[in-house]
Amino acid sequence: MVVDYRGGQEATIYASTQGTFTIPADAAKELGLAQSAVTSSVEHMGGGFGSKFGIGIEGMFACRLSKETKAPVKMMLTRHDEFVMAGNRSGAWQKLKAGVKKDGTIVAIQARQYRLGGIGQGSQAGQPYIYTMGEAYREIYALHTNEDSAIAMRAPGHPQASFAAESLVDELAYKIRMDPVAFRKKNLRDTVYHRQLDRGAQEIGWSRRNPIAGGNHGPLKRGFGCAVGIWGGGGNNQCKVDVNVSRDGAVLVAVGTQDLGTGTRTYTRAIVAEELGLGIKDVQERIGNSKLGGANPSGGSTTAPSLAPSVKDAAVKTRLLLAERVAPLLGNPKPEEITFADKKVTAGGRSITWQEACASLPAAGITGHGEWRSDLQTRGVHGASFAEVEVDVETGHVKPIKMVHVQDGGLPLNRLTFESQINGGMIQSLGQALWEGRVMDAQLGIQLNPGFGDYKLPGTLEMPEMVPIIDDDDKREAVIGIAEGCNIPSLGAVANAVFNACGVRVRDLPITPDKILMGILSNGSMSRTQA
Amino acid sequence: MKSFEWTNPATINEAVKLLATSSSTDIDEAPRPIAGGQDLLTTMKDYTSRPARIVNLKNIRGLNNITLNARGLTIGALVTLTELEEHAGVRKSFPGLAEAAHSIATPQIRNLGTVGGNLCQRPRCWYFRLEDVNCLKKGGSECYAASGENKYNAIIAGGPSYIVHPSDLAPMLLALGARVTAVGPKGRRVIPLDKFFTLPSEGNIRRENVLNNDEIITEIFVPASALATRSTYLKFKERESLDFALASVAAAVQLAPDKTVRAARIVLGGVAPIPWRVPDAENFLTGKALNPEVLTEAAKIALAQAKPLEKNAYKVPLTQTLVRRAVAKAAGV
Repeated sequence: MVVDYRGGQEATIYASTQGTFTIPADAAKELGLAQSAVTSSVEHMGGGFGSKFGIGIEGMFACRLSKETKAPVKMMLTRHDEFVMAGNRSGAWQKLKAGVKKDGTIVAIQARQYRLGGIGQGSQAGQPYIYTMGEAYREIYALHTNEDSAIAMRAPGHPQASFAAESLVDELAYKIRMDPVAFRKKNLRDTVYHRQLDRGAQEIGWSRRNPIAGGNHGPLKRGFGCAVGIWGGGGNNQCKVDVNVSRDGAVLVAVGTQDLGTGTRTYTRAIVAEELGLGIKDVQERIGNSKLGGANPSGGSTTAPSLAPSVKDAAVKTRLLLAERVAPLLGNPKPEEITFADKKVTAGGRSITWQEACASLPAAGITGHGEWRSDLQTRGVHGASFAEVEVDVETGHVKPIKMVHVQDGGLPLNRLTFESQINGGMIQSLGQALWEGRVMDAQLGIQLNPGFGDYKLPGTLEMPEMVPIIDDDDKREAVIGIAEGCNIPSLGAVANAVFNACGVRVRDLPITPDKILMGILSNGSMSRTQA
Repeated sequence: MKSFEWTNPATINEAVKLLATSSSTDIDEAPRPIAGGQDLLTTMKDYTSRPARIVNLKNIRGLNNITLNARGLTIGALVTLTELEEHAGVRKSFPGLAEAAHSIATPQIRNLGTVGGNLCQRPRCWYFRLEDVNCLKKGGSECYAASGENKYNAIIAGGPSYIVHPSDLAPMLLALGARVTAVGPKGRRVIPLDKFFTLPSEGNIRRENVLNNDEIITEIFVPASALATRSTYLKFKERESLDFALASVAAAVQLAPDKTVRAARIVLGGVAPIPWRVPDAENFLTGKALNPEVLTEAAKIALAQAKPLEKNAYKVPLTQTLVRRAVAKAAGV
């Protein structure tokens, strides 16, 4: 973060934030300025994942330093500080107990759930998670420890609940010797999951799965697992978008929103370009500034469903304004009868170029203003994830072989970035499943691995074949946020694949070789669980 | 990082003088030589080491050659890990050494990291590396790993400190009978590698080897042998992309015409404070034909001295697996 305050009446804050508009008020308070005197600039964000709203403790100190010195202050946390004082994903401890009928119907669940939020509240979705489980009883506690506070991180509380629920569902399937895909379908009312599970099973090659856990020959054993995900991802009414068309044909779309690396800039341009019959290079976007039109903070996968409808609204209004202007050049058709395509403006067989059309505009050009339209967005996504792993039962090594994730999301704004979100979800889940974890020393009360040497993120050699699948059977013509939904199910899918491969149920993440080896030793001869 | 003086000697003698002219005998405060800097810089950033002077060795000529002749292989201390792993003669006559070099860290680190530095790198134990913790190896009174988070720590020959030696070259070089040449104010000395590393219970607990603060490694000699041509290095990492060994095995096996073992060398890495040779297992194998039962028994013997801590018992079966696989691979069975 850079706080550019030089003792005057104004300040500019350059922040890596998920909320351009969450900065000025916080900073103004520290600097002793009016909120309107502080501008926040978020030209490049650098990655969010949930933790970056407001100026934070570090921003507060940067502002105070800048105020004291009347000079710009640049504040950057060390990696160590990032680990120990910038917030953590909430931990979880859960104890689940469930009953199932021989036909595969889950009839009851009892859950005790602890949210491990350090000095914060933590987060954890309630059980039963996604699945219909009949009678349910749950207790949820927040257990405080002397660790940094939990902070939002990719679907807060959901991967945690999902891992426990999917492990339970898998164990129940093995108990009654029912195929885990069939068992899941039996306990999922929403049939979208049924089609996604079938599609994913086909893509991963579920038929190659040995129903006996650990039943394959040799020390290198393949296994398969699956799980499902959910998310809301609906929008809200905060985005104010302006589209300006100049007399020289230039098009500018402006809104104060921020791009977390998700492609916000791309679809903001693309929607306007499409509406005006232009190429994506013919439109410029300006975002990431609190002096531009308002926009919501990017939390809960709400950016696209909040912003895209507002951009569309502005683009449509701009097109109609332009159509009114150029109608006399085309024999006065009704504005809505004028089409904009291929850089031409056409009506009733008469056509002029985009440049000719714009030349008729007043000196300041025209500006269309867009507001949110709830009819262009909706909420509620589903996903099904599958994993194939190979476990070396003599070393405990887990090699991810292939992952498949089927995800719906209403109307995809950009298929490449949609698939990138799915890939990102699979990769982050894989890291959570097999490598990542803060290690705390219980006596000293400190984190032992506050760096990327010892806190192990997966690298390129850990990546399996990844198959992201957009569920095009979802026919909803509406924008929905999908990012966090993509981060939920793969964790359970990988864990369940490990069990299918080697017969060891690791209930404590990450699933590392030591746990697998000790599990195999305590199983004695390999457990012959079948499903 | 504490601020420091950067010095650029052009000769070994100058370098040694710059290392020697210090009042501090504490390894963490004394002047330190730097080559690739891939370990030293991390310890300085962690404040684990706080040298007031850095002595750059990279301007000294003649320390970066690999020489291979009938007697054996001479590796200059400044040879990079990449140069070692890619050297055709090393790959042919000392394949285990090339494998060990390749197993280290990432291509970027291997491009800078040197052979001398690899042998002298400091332990990876979390407690040792954390600025907040004053552990036994840093002059404190307690080895926190003994009763703390000791998943990665020693199962053999630990105590009073339970570090494991992090070098991947060391087990292989030890298996091949290498010796190290070091130069200090009193001149040159040649140290067989089996006398180079020190257990915490034997030597200075603050150090991992017999070098003095003002001594630097200049070269490593590895004798040519039939064993060396049948050598291999198996390293088990939690994360393939970049990791230290949870356990590793350097093995070399020479077979007689009747396919029985004429000679074997087995050295374990990642399980003891020093690279740990297992002569009992080597002797057991000698004269035997290799089959699964023999390999299993040899692996059992190799780990017979293991005394796991609370969270690292898994290293016993893991290392046994690596012993079996490494011996079989080296013997080509």
